[in-house]
Amino acid sequence: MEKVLIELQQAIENGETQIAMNKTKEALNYGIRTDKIIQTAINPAFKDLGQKMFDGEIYVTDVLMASRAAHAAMYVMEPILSRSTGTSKGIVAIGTVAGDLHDIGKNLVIMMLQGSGYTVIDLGIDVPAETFVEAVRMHKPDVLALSSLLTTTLPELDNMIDALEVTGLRAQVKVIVGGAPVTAEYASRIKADAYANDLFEATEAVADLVKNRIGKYAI
Amino acid sequence: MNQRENFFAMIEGKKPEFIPNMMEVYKMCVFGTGITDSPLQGGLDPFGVNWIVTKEGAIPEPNKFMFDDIADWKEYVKFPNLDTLGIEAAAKIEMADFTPGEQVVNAFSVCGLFERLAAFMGFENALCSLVEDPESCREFFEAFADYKMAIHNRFIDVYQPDMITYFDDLATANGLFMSPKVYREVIKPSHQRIIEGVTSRGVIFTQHTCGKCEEIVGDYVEMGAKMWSSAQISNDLEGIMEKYQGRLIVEGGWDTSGPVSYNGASTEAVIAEAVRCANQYGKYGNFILMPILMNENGNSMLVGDPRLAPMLEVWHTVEKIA
Repeated sequence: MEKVLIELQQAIENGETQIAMNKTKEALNYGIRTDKIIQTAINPAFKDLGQKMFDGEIYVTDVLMASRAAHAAMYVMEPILSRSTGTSKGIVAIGTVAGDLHDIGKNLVIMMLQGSGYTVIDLGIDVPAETFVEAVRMHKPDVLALSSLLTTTLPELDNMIDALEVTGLRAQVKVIVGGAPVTAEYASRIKADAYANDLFEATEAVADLVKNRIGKYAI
Repeated sequence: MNQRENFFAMIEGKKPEFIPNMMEVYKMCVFGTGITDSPLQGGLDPFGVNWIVTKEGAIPEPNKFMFDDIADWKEYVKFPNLDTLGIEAAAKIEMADFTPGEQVVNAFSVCGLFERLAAFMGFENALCSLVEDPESCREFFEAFADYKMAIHNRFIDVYQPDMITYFDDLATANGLFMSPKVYREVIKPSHQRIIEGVTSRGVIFTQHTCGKCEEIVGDYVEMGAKMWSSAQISNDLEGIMEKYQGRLIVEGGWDTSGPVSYNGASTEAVIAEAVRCANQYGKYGNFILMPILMNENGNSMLVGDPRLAPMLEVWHTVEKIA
């Protein structure tokens, strides 16, 4: 029974979508619960990938292929996940701040988060502060993830956190920031809750934020 | 030596008198590529891709893809007829006030093989296609290389450039988008044809790749590239300069996205960065300074920056090579 989970993990790490789907079906046929599949196969796959990326052993293409395979596994489990309550690890609203049209980093983070079992609300690119604020009000996410890929739009992160303060919503949502020009120092200066340098750090940081843990990436 | 003579001394592997900087050494020619590849002012390119202008340059309109599956590329990609684009007229305007002999004529050719694929089908789809359907990718790259080679021949005819700078970003700040193996198997064969097309006409080929791409810089040299820009500091620049001395000129060195390029950085800090580059890289004799400041105002190459003029004044006091 455990063998199938190891094979699923390998399929995800190798970016083998069809095998990942088959192994997920097999695991479900064995009666393995979805939360165990996620915790024992999908999460460790991403953890391994994160380490390999950090060590320079794999590339963005490998991560993308792995994310697609994890998505396929989640797709197979979707009917069961949607029937059960409380299986989502948490809600994350995410978007690229106003003036910034880049979506690559954001989309990669979304794929990772969804593959890891979070409900993600993608607010898109070039998102004005009002839209973020409205999304926090409406969806009550555990985490608001803000991305800025441009140095030119960096101040929008600051403006966004100000907007949450002004509207009285800051206390009800954790804010994580990231993107090429963002640094931990900058995140600290604008009083974000966490900063992540890459998609793996973002996934780990979100896990901490959702559980109210002061993790490695907390500010 | 003037800028041009000094530059050609470097290209020939001789000792230059001073370290060139990109703001002064080139006559940059961009109108041609603005017509054939990516509109400088935004709008539709000749393939029908819409480009949006940002302060840091033009990008394809996000989430608007021409096709999702690389196997379908022939249904959607119609190569433009270069005779109808007005390249000659654009070059004439751009070169009208140029006096030959002082600077190096550098014709830009943006949106290389991978960037064009990403412009058509989005970044994620393009990257996954390289792994999932390398055969269709190779076929697309071969066809697009034909187009690029035709463009370069036209640029060489109308601009009579010393150099063509071919842009294809293949890396993040942390490493390549794809493994060197995937690059070599899928992209490199067509890339090689593009480079040979330029060098066979006696024109210098400069490869522009941002990010940490040091794993394939050797491939660029092997294929005939004589220069690499925008050599960012995430790469082992000194190691590369030393290894390829006399074979490759490295243009970059500036901490483009570090604190020294921030809007709040003092003029003194900007000057100190220039001095650091001169001291650290100048001694290798194959370095060109590329002082690009990226901050809230945008790319200083596009929007300017008041700190660059005083930096240049000081640069002229430290640029001499002993």
